[in-house]
Formats: sequence, structure tokens, C-alpha cells
Amino acid sequence: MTDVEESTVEVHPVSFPPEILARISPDLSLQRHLSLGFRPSSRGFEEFRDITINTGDVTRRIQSDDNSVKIPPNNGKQGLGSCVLKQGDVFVITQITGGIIEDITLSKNDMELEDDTELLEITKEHSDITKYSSVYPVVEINRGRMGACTDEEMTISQRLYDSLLHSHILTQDVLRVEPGVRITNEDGSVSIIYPDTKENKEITNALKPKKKWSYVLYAKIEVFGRTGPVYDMCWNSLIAALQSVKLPRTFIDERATDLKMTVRARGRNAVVMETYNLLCDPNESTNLQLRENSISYASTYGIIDLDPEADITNLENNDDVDEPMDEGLETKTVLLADIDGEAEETSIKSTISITACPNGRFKQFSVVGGGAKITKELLMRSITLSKQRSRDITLKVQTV
Amino acid sequence: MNVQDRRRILGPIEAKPLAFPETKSTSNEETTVVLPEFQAPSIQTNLLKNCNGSCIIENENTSILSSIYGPRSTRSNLFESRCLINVTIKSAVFPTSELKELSSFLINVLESFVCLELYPKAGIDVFINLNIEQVSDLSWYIPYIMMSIVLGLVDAGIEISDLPGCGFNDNNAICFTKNGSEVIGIWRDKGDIKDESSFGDSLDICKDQYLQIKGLMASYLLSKLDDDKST
Repeated sequence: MTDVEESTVEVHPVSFPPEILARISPDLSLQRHLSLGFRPSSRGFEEFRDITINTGDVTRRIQSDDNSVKIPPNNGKQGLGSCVLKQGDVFVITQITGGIIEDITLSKNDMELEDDTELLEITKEHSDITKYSSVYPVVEINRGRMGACTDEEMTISQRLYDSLLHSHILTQDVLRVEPGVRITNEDGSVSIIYPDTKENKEITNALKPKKKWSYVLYAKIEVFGRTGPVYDMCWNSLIAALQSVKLPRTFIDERATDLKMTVRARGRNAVVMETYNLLCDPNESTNLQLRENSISYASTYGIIDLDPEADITNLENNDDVDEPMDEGLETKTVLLADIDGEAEETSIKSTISITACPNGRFKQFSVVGGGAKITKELLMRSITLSKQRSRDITLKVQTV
Repeated sequence: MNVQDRRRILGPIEAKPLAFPETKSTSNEETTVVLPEFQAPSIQTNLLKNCNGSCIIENENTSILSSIYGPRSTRSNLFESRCLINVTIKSAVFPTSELKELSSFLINVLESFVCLELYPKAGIDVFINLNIEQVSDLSWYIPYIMMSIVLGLVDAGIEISDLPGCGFNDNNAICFTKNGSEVIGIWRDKGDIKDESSFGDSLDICKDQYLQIKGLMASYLLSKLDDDKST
């Protein structure tokens, strides 16, 4: 029993370099950083990542002033608008493409339901939202994997669709197609008449079919180099891209305006109108009119309780571990703007997501509790910051 | 049955894509369009954080982004003594069948200069994103695509035996290595080779272009090395 002393193991404190600690214990690493007053990315608590926005770069040049550059049509897949957004190390490329759909839903004015007030009331709530439209977003986050889309991609796509619809930025009316008519004149030359002037309107009304069409917009959002949550970047990029959208004008060929076919089915005769081929004018386009005062930008915030035990200054002062630590030490809660990086994404469970217009109107506000102490002050602070951020992004989009 | 992909929000099925009329008046111009000469593009590597290596090659209306993932473990249970290379090309402009063909061509080319034996049981995945306005056939882009892959591989620290490159002339894209003494791949979009001498000429032009590209890549890598040293 003489080797008791020899067998006692002396415990040496293990220390790791910061980058290894960040890998094996991201939450501790985060707490240590925060206790020193900055974040793992060396940003301040309320500091956003720098953002750069470029719109219209990848767009097919519909109205090119430079005649030397002639770009052949891209088989109908061409972009109508686009945006390249860079925030920190993350790139988001958004491309807007379009399509045309025959409008079969009747607007309120078209309905002959004057007597049926009850039905109108029921449909009122529904038709309020049908005045507005959305785009169909497909989000793709590049991670070097193939195959089916991830949960995150699906969630963000759905959220973008719903948010855009309910933020009333895009109305059905601006997506309505006002087709012109392509006319072959007596001398054989071809011209397109658009219903812009009164005189032209009469001509097109006479020739135009009774059907209605609308544009549909698709957004392909690709995220490169994801380092943290990306919803706000996708939203901002989508909104910036929408502002650069140019809708091509469409026309119908004169000869196709009154095509009718009689079909016989089960002993009955029916007249089927020919499905019209709407063609897009490669030379004429109009800017997509968004509701300016509803244009909003998103930002995210995280809330985290500071762990007093991880405080480096405390560690240095109280080497005596036996002393109770929790006396006199209040847990402090801080607000972090623009969450990014693995440590922040995994350790911060309480988040606030705000979509705000620069003028202070809010389009979306969501809080995930997550266990941290969310105080009124923190909420107010995040609202103030979101307005500032929104103003900042608006300036960046406008200067493009 | 509705066969639409329900995981993605693709919009109504009845919607038709925007159709542009065939421009008859400009069709003559299109056929005589002189393909842009090789323009020295801007190069930037190491710009994506979630992959091993990346490179973006940009010129006036082309932006080609390569991201290299690997060497990393593969899903296959078999023991592979050599590394497996996979190339995926994404583009909204070209049809998928053409892109698949090009990716298998590029895999062949890559296998001739990447030191596969050094990475047993591993895989290297190459993803290429073409953000372009279509100006010409696929072959015109191959020199740029090759450039972005090679620089991406260098950025990822994957060992390659040489700095290979590719030249383009008259629908031919020819990949060279070893200072132009070896051809590692020939891609031709369309048309027959009428006579051998014309092919010989375009081989020489491609070779000159390859040497120019190689010079560009080497000077970029050297300047990057100097920058890294100074910082």
C-alpha cells in the first residue's frame, strides 16, 4: 500500500486553442466570445453583415441600347429579372422567370351574384387575398449533395410564398395580360397594335378574344456557401429581383383571334375555342409595378442568456471553484443581430424574425421562444434595428 | 394522376412558358455572329465557405462557378483503390441531356490528370454552375469551365499532375496537358470534320489558346501565393 501517492492522478486543466474549442463545444466557445463583448465572427452584438446587391445582371437584355449585342432568344426560359446578393460570405442568386396562365377565376366584378349577399360575405375574406399574388419560389441551397430537396429548402420556399402573398406587394391586376394584336397590313407588312391609345383600344377590343390571361412568376433562388440561416437573405434577394422584373408585352396573331372548333362528344355538339398562342414581344416590355409602400426587407435576431460561468473575467478572478458562483451574478440577456456561423446557429434557440418596410410598417413578425428571457426592451430594440436595416437595404437596392 | 413534384412550389401546371416569336428578320444576323474571341476572364478562388475549393470565372456575359467537395468518403461499400470523380453541371440555358454528356466528358478529362491513387476510398464531387446568357454552343464555354475546375481543384488542395487547359476553335474544344504535347479530350458540338488539314489548323489554334490559359492560371496562382505570404 505504499504506492498510494504514486497512483493519485494529478488533474491538469485541459486547454484548447480557440478554433478547436469552437468545434468541440460551440456553445461554450460562443459564451466565451460574448463575455468578451463580441461574437465569434468578431462582429459586435448588433452589427449586421455587410450586404451588396446587384440586380438585372443576368437578365436577357430585352431593351438593349447597345445594338452590337444581339442575344438570341433563350427558348422561353429567359429571365425577366434577377438579383445577386452577397451577405458576408454567402451568395444568393435569384432569377425570375415567367409564364402565362389562362385566367379562369372570376373577379368580383365579373360575378353575377347581386342577390346572394350571404355567399358574397363568405367569399369576401377569401377574395381579399385573391386580389394579391405571389411568385412560385424554388430555393436551392448548395451543399455538394444531390437528390431531393431538404426540409430547410422546402420550409423557406413555403415561407417565401406565404409571406409575399400576405405582404400585399404584388397585386393580381399588374399581372393581368393586356394582349395586343398582330396585324398583317394590306401591303404584307406586319405590325403589332397594343391597346395604349383610344383608337388602338377599339381595334383590339374588336379583335380580342374574351378570354383572360395572367402572368405567373417563378423565382429560382440559389444559395451558395451557406454559413447560417438564410431566410432573410432569400427574402431580400427575391424582393430586390422583383423590382428589376420587366414583363414582356404579349400579342395574339390576328388570324388566331376567332378560331372555333365544333366537337361532337356523346351525341352533343359543343364549340371549343382554340387555345390561343400568346406570343411575347421581344422588343417591348413594361416594368413590373409593385406596391411601393409595401416593399419590405427581412432581418433576423437571436436572443441568448449569457452564462456567468463561462465569463472569462470571472474565471480569472475566482480561481477558487468551491465558492458558490450564482450569488450576485445575474444572468444577462443579449440581442444578437443577423445570426451567422455554426456556433450561433446551433446554440441560439430564441430568435426573432422581422420583415419591415423602411417607413416602419411591418409585414411579418415572428418570435421563437426557445427558453431565453425575452424582455420588452429586447423586442423594442430588435424592432428599431429592423427598421434601420430595412432603410439601409432600400438605399442599396435603389443605388443599383 | 398528378405527377407534379409536390415537395417544391412549382406553380400551376396549366401555365405555359413565355414564348417568343421566331425572329425571321434577325436570323441572318445570328448565323453570321462572330463568336467572341477568348477573353481573359476575371478569376477569384476560395469564395465559398462550405466547400473545399471554389473558383469563379467571369467575363462580360459568362459567370462560371465551380465548387469542389472532397476528397470525402463515398457511399459505396466497395473498396476503391482510386478516387471517384463526379461532375454535376447546372444551367438553365442548356438541355439536361447535353449537360450530362458534357459532365461525363469532363470526368474522363479529369481522370487523366488528377492524382487518383493518392485518395483511395474517397470521392471528389465537382459542381459547376453556369450563369450565362447564351451566346453560343456549349463547346465555347468549355475552356472557361476547365479553367474553373482546375483552379477549384488547386484551391481544394487536391493534387494534380499538371495545369491542363482547353482551347476552342471552329466547334472544337480540345483539352491539352503537358505543355501541349498531349491531348486529353476533344469535344465537338456539331458538324463533320471535312478535311484533316483544317482540323490540324484548329488543333494548333487551340494549343495556342491553351498555352495562353495556362499562363493566366499560373500567373494568378503565383500572385495569390505572394498575397498569402505577405498577409
